[in-house]
Parts: sequence; structure tokens; C-alpha cells
Amino acid sequence: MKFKRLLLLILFISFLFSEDGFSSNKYLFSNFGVGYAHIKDTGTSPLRYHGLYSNMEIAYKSIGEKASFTVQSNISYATTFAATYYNLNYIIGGLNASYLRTIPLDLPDNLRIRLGGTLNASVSGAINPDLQNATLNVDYLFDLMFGSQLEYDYSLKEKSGKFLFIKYKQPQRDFRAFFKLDLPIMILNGRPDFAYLNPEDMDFFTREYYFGGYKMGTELGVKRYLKNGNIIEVKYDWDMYTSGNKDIYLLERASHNLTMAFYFKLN
Amino acid sequence: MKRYLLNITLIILLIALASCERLVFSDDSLNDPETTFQYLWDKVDQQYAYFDVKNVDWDDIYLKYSPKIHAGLSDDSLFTYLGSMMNELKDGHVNLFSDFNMSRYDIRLLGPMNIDFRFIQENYLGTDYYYTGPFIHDFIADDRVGYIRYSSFSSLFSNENMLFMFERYKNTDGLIFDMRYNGGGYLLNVFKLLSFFTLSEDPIYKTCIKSGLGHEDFTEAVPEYSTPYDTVLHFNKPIAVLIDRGSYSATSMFSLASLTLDNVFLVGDTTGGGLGMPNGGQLPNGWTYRFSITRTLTPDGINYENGIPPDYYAVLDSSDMRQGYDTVIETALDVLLGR
Repeated sequence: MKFKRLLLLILFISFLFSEDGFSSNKYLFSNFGVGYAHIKDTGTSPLRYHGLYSNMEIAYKSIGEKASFTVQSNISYATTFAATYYNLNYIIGGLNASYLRTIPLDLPDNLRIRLGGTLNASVSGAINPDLQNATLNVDYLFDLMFGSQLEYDYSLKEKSGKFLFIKYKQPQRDFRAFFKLDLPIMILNGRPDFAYLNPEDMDFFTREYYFGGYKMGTELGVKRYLKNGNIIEVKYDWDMYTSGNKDIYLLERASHNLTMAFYFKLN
Repeated sequence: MKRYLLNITLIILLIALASCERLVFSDDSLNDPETTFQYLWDKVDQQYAYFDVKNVDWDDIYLKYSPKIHAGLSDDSLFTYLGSMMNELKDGHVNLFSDFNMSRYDIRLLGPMNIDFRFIQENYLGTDYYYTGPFIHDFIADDRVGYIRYSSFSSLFSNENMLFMFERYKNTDGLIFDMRYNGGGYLLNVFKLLSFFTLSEDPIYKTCIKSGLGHEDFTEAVPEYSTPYDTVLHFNKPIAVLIDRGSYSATSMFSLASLTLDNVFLVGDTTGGGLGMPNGGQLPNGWTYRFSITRTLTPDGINYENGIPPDYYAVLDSSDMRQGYDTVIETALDVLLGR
């Protein structure tokens, strides 16, 4: 029941935001990525932990010529190391909604710029078994980001040829290359207080909350449009976040990630 | 051609932006003996909770150790100096850990060895005693008293374990809970054990947490309450808790909490203390450390970090042992049985 209500709400918001109404294409989106991350939390260590990163996202996307709207949930995990054998496991779970609107500029039909914003809410957990009562730390992050996306549509023409003794014919393929840049408008951080003690310090309501810090994200990728309306996407994304100088202790994290995504057309 | 130009531009832009994190992020810390020493000294100075009770002037400690630290010092020597510096705090919750050594302050050596479990087996329990969960127990003193040995608060137990023992010893004149040399463990076991000895929610201790850089910067002390397992069922007969210098951390916490219970009394030697919550951290060279960052006080504000004194002092006496008596158990029996 709750799921149905949520779905209806998403569809309603999607319709509301999408200026071209039903002309937009609606997708169920899912991706998986692997990459590299590094994390430094001076509350517990002056060392930067480096390691493997992976993430998964599930989203509902409405993409039209004039606007696009996304509601997305994501989870990512990094296993990182410092000084050879000290291990920090890092998990981030988040929800976000973003709206990008195409700017009416005098550009070629296959080139467009979209501007908008993203609202994110995430919780991250760091587990470092060597740290006694600071073994587990939980951080909360709420942010509003300014979003911009450059899109370029192109096609590879029908092609035929011969590979060894096999003749083949490749139909025309349609692509969209894109570059996305997110910059912060407002970031609300929920970080541990001075003692960095858990479990006392992990409570949502006993965090130190403040506005500040810096966050940035970019994506560079290519979408391939399939005949059945579905899309395959490959992208490289980079995200960075620092809790800023208002934090008692500084948290810095960055990830570089190569992901493959599938868009399943819903309409 | 246009397409390739666009792609190349985008890739260059992305690489340029991705390297921005180097501009925004802080520099990585140096890994040399001086930086490591300074980092550890600062952390203890800012976060350690018990300078007052330990009567340690941390600035003096800096003057004592900083001249010994210099570039090129071997890891072994650096560890020895840093470990010695930490041990100036005389605190069992203070350790330095590396992949080749662990510094420690053995609080147990402050008092005599006060338990010999083989002696208890031979002279009180025999060989047919019960093992219920982590508890070793049986009747002693002509079945008038139940003896229960709990050697570590790290050992989990169930409600059924406790109920079985209460049922078994319900017709005795009292219980002996032997927690000598119990070095502590999980705090949740303290609350669980206490829940069987109380019928009401009462404040059992107060905790305050380090909240700022100053040695006396703490949060307001917040009381912690006992929660009864059952509002009717509890063990209301006298209970002697046996303690010694090896009764540390969670065991000291249990001893502290038991001060609020009318039917519980402490027998033996002063506990080791260790009432603070030890927090861990890492040094620039990768070693890890821990020390206490909270203070635990009685509900009326007394700080027993250096140990909770017994109600009845007793240590093992060799002449008693030659006659087959554990002095501490016998003292507890004297009180329980009114001998």
C-alpha cells in the first residue's frame, strides 16, 4: 500500500515538473559501478584510507526534451586501507530527487544544456574495528545541489562489413553523450561531537548539525538508445565531499567510479 | 570531427575537475617520530578524562618525553617512549597498539593476587559443579550459600541462565558472586545482571563525556538507570560480590552500581577502577591507541576511577589457605551467615 502511494506520488511529481507532460519518456533505472575511493576522518585518524568502491542505484526517471526528473535511491560501499592493514569499511545509503530543465538557447538540435537542482539525503556509516568505542560512526548529510548537464546526440550510420569470413550488417545506432556537473547550494551536515563516542554519539538527534562544507560531483557518459526504447548507459562519475572547517573534525571523501546502467522504458 | 572534439574536451574537463579534490582536501599528515609524538600528546591532552583523579600534569609529561623524540628514531624506540608516556596515566584503559607490541598498565599488579580458582575447586566446589552459560556455580557452606563464579563480562548469558540459578539457590541464605580477576567486558552484561537484583528503575551511576579541549570540559552528567527484569521476581537475599584489583572496567562498573542496592555488599580488595569508556584513534604512523573519554560517577557525584573500595576488606592469607580456606570467601560467608 505504502509502495503504491509512493509510486503515485512520484508519478504526480514527475507530471508536475515535466513541462512537456506525457511526451517525456519514463524509465526504471538501475546501475552498478565499481571504482576507487579515499576517505579521511580526522575524528579518528589523520590517515587517508584508500580502497575499492562499488555502488548501486535504482531510480525512476522521466526524460523529456524540455525537462528531466529523477527520484533515486543509492547504496555504496567502500573497503579501504591505511598503513597496509588498518581497514575502514564505509557504507553510504541515500535518496535524492533531481529536476533539470532545458535552457532555450540558440543551439543545434542535437545539443542542449539543462539546468536545475538535486535534493539529497544520505546516511553514511564507517566501521573501523581497531577503534574501540569509536569503531562505528554514522554521519548524516542533507544537501541541495545546483545541477547542470550538457547533452550531445549523435548517431553512427548503418554499417556493413566482414569479420574473418562472416559478413555483418550493423544498423544505425543512436547515442547521447553527456556531461553533468553538480555544485553545492546548501549542505547540512550531521557529524559527531567532540568525544566521537558511540553508541551515545550515533543518535540522530544528538549530532552536531551545521551548514557548511563542500560537495561536488561530475558525470561523463554515453547513452545508447536501443530499438525497443530501453537505454544502456556507461559513465564515469566522480564525487567529492568535505565537511568543512565548521566541523570539529574534518571528514573528506572522494570516489571515482565507472558504472553501467540500464533504463527500462515504462511508457 | 566535431563529435571527437567535443568528447576530448569533455574528458579533459572531467580530469581537470576530478583533480580539484586535491585542491580542496587537506594535506596528508607527515609520518615522522616528532609528528606522531605531538599528535598523540595533543589527543591525550584534549580528550583524556581523568587527569584530575590520576594527578598527572600532562605538560610536565611533555617536557619529560619530547627531548627523547627525534627524526631517525627506530619504531621500537618510538613505541617504547610513547608507551611509557601513556603509562604515566596509570590507567588500564590506556594502550598503544602496533603490529609488534602493545603498551599497557597492568592495574592488577597494584594489589595482591587474590584468587586461586583451582584452590576453590579443591576446597569448595569439588568436581561436580554446574556450568550454566558462563557461570560456574554450586552450593557451598553446607548448602547454605550459592557460589557463582563469573570470570568475564565479555561472556554473554541468557535470562534463562539467571533464572535457573535463582531457582536453584532460592532456599539458601545468600549468594556469593565471585568477580575477582574479572577484567570487564560488555557494559550490557552489567545492566542485564543488575536487572535480576532490583525491582525498580533507580539511578545507578552518572556519566559525563569529554566535550571540549580543556581538561575539565565535560557534558552534564547524565544518570543511567537500572531496569528490573521482572517487577516481582528478583533475588532479594544478601549477595556478596567478591572483588579485587583485577576486577576492572565493567566489573568495577557493576561494583559501583551495586553500591545503590541494599542487599549487595562488596568483599575483597579495592577494584581496579577503569570506569571510563575507552575510545580509540590512530596515529600518523598507523599505530592505534585508546584511552578513556568519559567519567563515571556515583549518583551523588563521587569519582571512583581509582577503584571501588570493598565493604569488607579481605585478601588471601597463606595461613588460611594452608587450612583450606579462601580468606575472601570465608569473610563473605561470615557476613552472609552471621558467623
